[in-house]
Amino acid sequence: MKRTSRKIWDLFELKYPHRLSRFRAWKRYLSASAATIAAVWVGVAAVREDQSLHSSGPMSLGHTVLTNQCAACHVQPWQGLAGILDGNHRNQEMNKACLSCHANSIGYETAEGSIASRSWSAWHEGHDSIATKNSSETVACASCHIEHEGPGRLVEMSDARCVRCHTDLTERVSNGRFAHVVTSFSTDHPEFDVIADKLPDVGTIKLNHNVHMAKKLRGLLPSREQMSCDDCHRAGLGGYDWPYGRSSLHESNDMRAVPQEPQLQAAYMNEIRYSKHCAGCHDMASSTLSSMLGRSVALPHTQPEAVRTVLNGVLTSYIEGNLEELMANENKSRSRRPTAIAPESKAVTNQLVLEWVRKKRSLVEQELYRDAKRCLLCHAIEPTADAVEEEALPIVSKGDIPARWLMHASFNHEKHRVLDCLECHPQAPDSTSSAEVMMPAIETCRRCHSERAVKPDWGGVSYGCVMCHSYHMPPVGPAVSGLKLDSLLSGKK
Amino acid sequence: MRIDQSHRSWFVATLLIAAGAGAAYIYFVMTSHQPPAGDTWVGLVLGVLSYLFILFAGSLGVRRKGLLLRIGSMSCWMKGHLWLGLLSLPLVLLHGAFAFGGMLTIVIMTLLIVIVVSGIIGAVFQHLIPKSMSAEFPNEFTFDQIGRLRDITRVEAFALVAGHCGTMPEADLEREEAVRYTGKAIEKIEKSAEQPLPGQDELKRFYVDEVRSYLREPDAGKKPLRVALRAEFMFENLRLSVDPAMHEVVQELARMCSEVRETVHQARRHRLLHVWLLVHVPLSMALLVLMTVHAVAALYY
Repeated sequence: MKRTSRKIWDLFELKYPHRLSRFRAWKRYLSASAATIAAVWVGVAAVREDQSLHSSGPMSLGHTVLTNQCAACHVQPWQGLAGILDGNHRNQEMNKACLSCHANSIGYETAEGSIASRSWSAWHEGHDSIATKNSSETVACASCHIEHEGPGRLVEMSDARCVRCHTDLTERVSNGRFAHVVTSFSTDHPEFDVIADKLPDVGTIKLNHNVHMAKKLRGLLPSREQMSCDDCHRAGLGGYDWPYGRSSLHESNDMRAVPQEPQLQAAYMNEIRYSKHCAGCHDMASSTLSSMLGRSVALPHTQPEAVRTVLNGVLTSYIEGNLEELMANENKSRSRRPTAIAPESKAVTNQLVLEWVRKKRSLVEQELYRDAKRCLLCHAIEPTADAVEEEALPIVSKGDIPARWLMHASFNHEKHRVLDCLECHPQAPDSTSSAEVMMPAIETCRRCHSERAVKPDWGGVSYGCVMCHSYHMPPVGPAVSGLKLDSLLSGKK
Repeated sequence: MRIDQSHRSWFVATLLIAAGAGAAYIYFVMTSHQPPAGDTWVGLVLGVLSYLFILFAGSLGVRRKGLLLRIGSMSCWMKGHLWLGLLSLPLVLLHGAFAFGGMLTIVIMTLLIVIVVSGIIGAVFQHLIPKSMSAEFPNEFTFDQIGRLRDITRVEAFALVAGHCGTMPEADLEREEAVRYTGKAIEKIEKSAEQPLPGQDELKRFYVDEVRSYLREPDAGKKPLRVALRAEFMFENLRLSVDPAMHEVVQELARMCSEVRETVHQARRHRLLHVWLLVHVPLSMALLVLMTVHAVAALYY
C-alpha cells in the first residue's frame, strides 16, 4: 500500500484544531484547577473571616493582636479608594484610629525632665503636619511608624525614614531652628545647641568642681584620698548610699528644681539634693544661733520663710524656758528707762518675748543670708539681704540644675556608666565655676557612635537617629483598658 | 513567535514605560515624606497599570478563541502579551516597593515571577526551536496530527507486509486497525503470495518482532529501531536476506520507521516548545483571580 498525497489528505483528521488534544486538555484542566484553588483559598478565608490574608505583612510586636482586625486601624470602608481621592482626609482618619488608643497612653519626656501626657501632635513637635510652600499636608502616623513590616517595634525606625525628609528640610521648615540637612549622626549632624551657641548653664547653684576634686579635702571620708564623680553624680534608681549625704535629714521639696519621675531616674543623673550630696560636709547650723542657745541647732534646708518659722519656734521655746534671762536684761533696760512697762503683765511678757525673738532671729538671718560661707556659698540670693528691710526675707533662687541638656534628644547615663566620667567630661576637675558647661561636644559622642568607630574586631555601637530622638517614654498608662479577652482578640465589642 | 525587527516599537515602548515608572518611583522617594508603598499615589498608579497589563496579557487566550472583538491582529496581540506581560513584573515590584508584603501578595508576587520567567523561557524557545525544526525536520508534521500519522503509518506498514507475506495472526491489533482504517476485509489486505519468495519469513518475523512494536510505541522502551544508524544496519541486513523482489518493501518499511522516528524527535521538540505553557497558563489563571481579589481588598482597606 503505497502512500500518496491523496490518501494522506483523505485519512488525516482535518478538524484537529477543534479537537481537544491531550496537551490542550491538560492545559485546560490545570488552568481550571489553578483558578479554582485560588478562588477557594480566598473564599474560605473570607468565610472564616480571616483578614490576615490581605495583610500587607506581619504586624509589629505591639499590634500582633490586631492581625485579624483590619478595621481596627483601617476604619473607613474603601479607605484605599478614599486615599486616591483625598490623601489628606485618609491620613486624618487613619491618625484618628491610632490616637483612639495612643492619644494619651504614651508619656513624653519634657525638656525639664519629667514625664507628662500630651497630645500626639505636641510631642512629635512638627511631625504631625508638614507645611510645604504650596500646601499643608497631614502626615499619617504610619508614614514613619510603618506597620506590616514584621514583629519589630514601631518606634524603632531606620535612619532612612528620618533622612527621607531631613536630607533637605528647605521646603518643609520655615524657620532656622533646625538644621536643614542631616543625613547621619556620624557625618553631618549639627553640633549640640548648648555647645554650638555657647549657651550658659541655667543652674543657679555655685559649685567649684576644682575645689571638690582636690586631694585631702576637708570632710573627706577617712578612707578616701579624693572625692569621685559618683559621690554626687549617679544615674539609676538603685545603688549604694550617698557618702556625703545625711539620710536622716528631712528635706522639703521646695528647693528642688523639677521633681524627677521614676522612669527618668534610670536614664538621667539623680538630681543634686542637699541632703544626699552636701549635708555631710556643709551643715545648716548657724554659729550666731548656736552661741545664743549654747548648743548647735541644724536648720532646715528650705526657703527663707520656712527657715524663719523654724527660727521663731526655736528662739521662742528657748526664751520661754529662760524668761529670767529676758527679765534680767529687761530690768537693766528699765533702770535706764523708768517708763518701761511692768513685767507682771502677761501681755507685756509676750511683747518682750516677741521683741527678743525678732531681734535674735534677725541676727541669725543676717548671718545666713549675708555671710558668704552660708547660703550664699551655693545659692544665688536675690535681692541680697543687704538691700532688703530687716523684716523682709530674701529670695533664694531655686537650683534649676538642668535635668537634661539635649532638649530634643534623650541620653542615658546609666548605659554609659562603664566609662570613666572624664572620658566625656575631661574639664570637670579643673572647672572652677558652675557656669562652665561641661557637656561633651558631638565629636566626643562620635568617638563611639559613628561608622568611623566600627572596627572589625569590635563592631562599634549604634548611631541611629531614634536612639536619641525617640520622643517616646514608657507609657504613663493605657488609654484603653478593661477589655475582655474575647473582645481584644476578636475586635468585637 | 520570533522576536525580530517587528518587535522594535513594542520594545521601545516597554523601555519607555519602565523608565517612566522608575522615574516616577524615584521622584516619589526623593520628594515624599512617605515611604514608597502600594497605597501611595505612585504605588497605586503603578499597581493599576500593572493590573491592566496583566489583564491584557491574560486576555490573549480569549482573543485567540475569537471571543473578543477582533481588534488588531493576533500577531499584535501576541507582541502585546509578550512585552506588556514582561513589563508588568517591574511595575509590580515598584508598586510594592520591592517588598512582597503579606500572604496574598507573596503568593501573587511568586506567581507573577514564575509566570514571567516561564514566559521568558517560552519566548526564547519559541524564538529558537521553530527555526531549528525547519532545518532539522524537512517533513515537519503538525504536532496534533502526529498520533494520527503514526496510526496510519502502522496500518500502512502492516498492509505492506501482509500484502507480501500473507496472514500474520500475531499482529492482531494491527489487523483490526487495518480493517477499521481502510474499510476493507482482512482477507483483501492479507493477500497470500502465490509463490512464497525467499526471505519472506524473515521479513514477516522482522516485522512482528521489531517493526510492529516500534511503530506502536516508538518512544518507549529500548527498541533497536529507535536508533537511526542501528535501524539502517538492521534494514540493510534484512534487505540482503530477502528476495530482490521484496527490496522495495524493505525500503518502504525503513522509510516508515524513519518517518515515525522523526515524529518522535519532532514531538520531543514540540513538547519543549510548549510544555512551559502548562506552567504559564494555569498560574496565570490563578494570578488573575488573586490579583482581582487583591485589588478589591486594597481599595477597601
